Amino acid sequence: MKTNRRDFLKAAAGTVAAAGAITITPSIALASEDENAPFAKDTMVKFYDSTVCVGCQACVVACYKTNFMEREQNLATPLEELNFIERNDIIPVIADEDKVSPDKPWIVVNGLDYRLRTIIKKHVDDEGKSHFIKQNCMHCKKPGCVSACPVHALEKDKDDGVVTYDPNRCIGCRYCQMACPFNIPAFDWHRANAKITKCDMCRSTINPKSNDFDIDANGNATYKDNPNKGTACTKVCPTGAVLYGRREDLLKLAHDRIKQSKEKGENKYYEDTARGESVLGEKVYGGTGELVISAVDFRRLDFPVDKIGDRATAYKSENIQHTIYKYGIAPIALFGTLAFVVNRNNKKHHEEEHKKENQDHKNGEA
Amino acid sequence: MIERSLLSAGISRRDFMKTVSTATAVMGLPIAMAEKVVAQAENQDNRPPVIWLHFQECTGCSEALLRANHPSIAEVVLDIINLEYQETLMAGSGDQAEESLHNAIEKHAGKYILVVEGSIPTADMDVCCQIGGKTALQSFKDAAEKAMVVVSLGACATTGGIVAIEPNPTKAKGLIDILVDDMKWDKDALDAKYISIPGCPPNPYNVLSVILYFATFNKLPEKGPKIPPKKNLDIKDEMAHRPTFAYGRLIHEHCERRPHFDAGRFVREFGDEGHKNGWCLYHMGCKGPETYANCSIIHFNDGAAWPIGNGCPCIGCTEGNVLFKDSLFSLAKVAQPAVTPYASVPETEGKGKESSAVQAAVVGGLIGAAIGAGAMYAGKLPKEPKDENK
Amino acid sequence: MSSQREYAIHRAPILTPAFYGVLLVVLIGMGLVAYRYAVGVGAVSNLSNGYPWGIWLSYDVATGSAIACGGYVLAVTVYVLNNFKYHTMVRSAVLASMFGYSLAGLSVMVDIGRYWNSYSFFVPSRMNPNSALFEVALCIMAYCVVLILEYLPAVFEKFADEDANKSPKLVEFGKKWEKRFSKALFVIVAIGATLPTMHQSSLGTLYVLMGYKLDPMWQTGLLPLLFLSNAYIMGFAIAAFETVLSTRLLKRPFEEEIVDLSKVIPFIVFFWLIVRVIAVTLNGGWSNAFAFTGRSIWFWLEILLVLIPSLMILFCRYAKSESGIFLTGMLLLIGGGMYRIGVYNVGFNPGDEYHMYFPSLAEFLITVGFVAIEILGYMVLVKLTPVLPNLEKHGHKH
Repeated sequence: MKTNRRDFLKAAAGTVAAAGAITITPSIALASEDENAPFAKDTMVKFYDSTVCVGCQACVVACYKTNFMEREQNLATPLEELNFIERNDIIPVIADEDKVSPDKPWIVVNGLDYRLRTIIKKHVDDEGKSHFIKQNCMHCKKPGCVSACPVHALEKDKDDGVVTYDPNRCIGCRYCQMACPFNIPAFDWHRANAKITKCDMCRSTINPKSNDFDIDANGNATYKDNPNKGTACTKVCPTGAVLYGRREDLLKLAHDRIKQSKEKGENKYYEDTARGESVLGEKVYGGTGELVISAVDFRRLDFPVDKIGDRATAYKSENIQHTIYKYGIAPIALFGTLAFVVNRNNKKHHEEEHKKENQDHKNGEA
Repeated sequence: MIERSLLSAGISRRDFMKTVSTATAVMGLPIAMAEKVVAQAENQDNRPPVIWLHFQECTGCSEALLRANHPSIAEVVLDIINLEYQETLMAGSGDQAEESLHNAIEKHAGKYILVVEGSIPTADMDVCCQIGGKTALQSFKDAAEKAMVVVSLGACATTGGIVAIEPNPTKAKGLIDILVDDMKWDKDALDAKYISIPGCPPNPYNVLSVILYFATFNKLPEKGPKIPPKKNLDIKDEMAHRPTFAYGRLIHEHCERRPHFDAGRFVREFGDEGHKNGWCLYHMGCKGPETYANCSIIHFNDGAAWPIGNGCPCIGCTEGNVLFKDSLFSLAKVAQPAVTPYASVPETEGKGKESSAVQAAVVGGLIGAAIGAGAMYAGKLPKEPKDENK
Repeated sequence: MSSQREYAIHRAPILTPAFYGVLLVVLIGMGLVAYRYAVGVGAVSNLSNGYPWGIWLSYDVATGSAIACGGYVLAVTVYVLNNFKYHTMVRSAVLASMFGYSLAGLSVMVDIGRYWNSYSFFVPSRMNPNSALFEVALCIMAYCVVLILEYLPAVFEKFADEDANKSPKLVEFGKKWEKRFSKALFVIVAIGATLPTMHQSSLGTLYVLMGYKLDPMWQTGLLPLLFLSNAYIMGFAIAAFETVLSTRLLKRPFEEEIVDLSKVIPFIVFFWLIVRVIAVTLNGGWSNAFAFTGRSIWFWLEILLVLIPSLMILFCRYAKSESGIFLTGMLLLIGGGMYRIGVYNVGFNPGDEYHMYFPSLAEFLITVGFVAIEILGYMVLVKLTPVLPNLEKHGHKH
């Protein structure tokens, strides 16, 4: 009995340690978050005014060149360098269905894909007037993708709120794509060395993190150390439809534009009075790092704001996770109880078996 | 001073300003800079001396220059530059001409612009082009040594052009090969003193602009291609020595037929419907997508016409590795692909397909088959519970 | 000695025609897997940016792991709820679970795009405890190890078997480790009962994050509870189903214990149904449910396919027969599996701009290939190691 007890303690200690390692380590970091906390002061956002956009797609091209063409063209994996896999997809000569044909050497934009971090979409209203909407990562306040990513490949910068992506961590599980309410992250389906593609405010190329900037009259951020810094799309936009700057400045600018248009009697901007959100991104999904004003209903520009709601789903799912796994208490308690019960039952069973066998033995002898 | 002489020659100040403004604009300088250029052009004493040598060529580059109107060659020759020696234009000949060349080199040593038209025969074939008993190679070396700037004008002078096409009977070479191999110019010397203006012929405004730029700022304009930014070009790569304002971008980028390329409307045969409608000539072998030049912007004959505008595919005359080397009708490599997206924009409220009836049938069939097979199998098993009588 | 043991090796030839048939299916599947590794996920699947998760996750992982819950459910029944009369069924269930889970893990390695970065899970600075997927991944990996440990005694038992001609050292080794394992068994079993509780619920939590993209018929904060109870339903069902199948296919007598075991199923099903009804009501999903679109038909099938067999078990005498056990088990499995696929694929709708996902033939074949590996492994190991109940010993008992 004594040895049994000692073994039990040994085994129990070992397994508790093992189980603890599984459950405690990740659970320590779990801390509840204030859902109503404001954005960080230096949150950098893009502001898109749909009424100013002419749909020239210069931003699409600029982004493509900056973030895809010059960086990704020479990244063949050894396997892909073998000739049996044609590397047509990185010579960006792609037509419908991503099939290459020499007749169509241009980007066919069907939606965000592994090459395009931003696209312009068109909406034709009932009067036949065209409206444009720039679709790219919204850099949410509480991003679903960051909450989803099991390995922190997607992270939100604490200072300026930019959601960045690190392919060296990414395992390619695509949970971020599932979790994004705006369907932004794209995956390179036809490459063995596949990556997630999403806007990171050109953080990895021409716009490294910096707080050293001035805000010019347009609300655009101008960096002191390098005036050329900034996001590719904002720098190239010929009409100033998309601006890059501090969130509070651009939010003010957006409201000013709406106010001015009201004062002039134009009323050219759509205001979601039912939800109390005239600048898209103020409230939707708990607030986003992309501000949009437009002349038409956001719902018709592929933003199902009613369905998305004003609370990030990440809060809900993280609450569930945190409730169950806070400090790993529940799993360890469960394990402890189970271990105790199993051990007791097991022993009882063995004793019974033993007795029965002895009995059988005796009966046999008899 | 020039102004006065122009006025006496019947050229108004307005025309003069226009001339200089054109040249300024071509250089890609802000228009306010025209003042400075005008001031330079007005200062007669500062006219840069130019020595213009012809070797194995057709004089097409000079001919093209002769047809420039803003400014006309007369203005250029008489007022803007100090043309000391130009075989086509000068009146003198024979010993007189040779003497003037020699005198000019001595007089302006270290200050003149040397413009070279035509390729230079080398090695044992250097006898092919001799002027005044001197081989072309020797003439060039003599002139280049004391030049402030060497300009290679036209495809032949830059890369050998048609003369140097295989089998290259005269062993002709472009200037850069001579400068680097024979004269041992290093990178700094090339950067400071050599500029190439390729083309067959080069646009006269590009020539003029380079000369004016040099006369104004006393240095060469920015060199090298702009897009894509090619770094670490080989010292012998002539691409690195072209003026950026003229050769920085592809013809394709600003081609008037570009929208047709983007939209996939191509000429398939000369004279077909697409050709009549001015569609893209890519499939007729147009080399615009791999040719760096500003033809599509400034055109020729004072903006009146240019090959692609006339329905003739670009032959890539500024590119040494394209001109006369690629077949006229071969498809160009789209060197800088996808700089514009497809003409159509995706629409919002898109209509993706719901699952089709076939797919629903497959799913239904699978589930049904599973249940059916299970039920059939279950039918074969004993249906009476055994343990009832236990 | 061997006749005294609880489990025995199933003595039958391994290389049967069925073996080669299944092997062929495996080879086709693995060929396609190789192709996927060369050219990318998109080359073999119909996945798109709108529908990035397909049947490799909904079937192979979510449903596959639930089907593999037979081992979990039996372990809980036997060791925790102290019903040792089902002990004879544990080992075969554990073996099936081991294959189920390992293959769920393997098919994840086919599915994820950057599998070479999988070590990220073990780098502390990269762990994201907020992610349910992180929890699922670690748990499933750990549980695979636990299942192997739970199965190992069968291997040691084979070594320890003195009947065969082998070196005494091996026998001694087997005996020593068998003893050690039997002592530590309670720890392994307890971990084995904890881990599935964790990850089966987290498999549901995964989809809470999808928000509006999951149809209100399925979306609810109660998903973890629904998935856990669903795992129990499927665990009991697979235990019943497998028993009948192995009885018939391996030509062994019927294990009567399963009849009693199946009696518990209706109560779990009713619990699940109540939670489900509450969830749909809270989420306002009934209007969609009565719209009778493709999705709502799926929704009703899910419910009917678990409700009908439960009622049969409660009220029909037929359900206690071998045939009835088989039929109810199968219906429960299909119904329970449909619920999981319902959440993972059918109920998922990212918006109108994407073509609705439907798996490609290659995706099907890869999944079928993995299932075939499972079957193949089971068929072989049952004939190599003592897994199935020892008939001689049982013969005495009944």
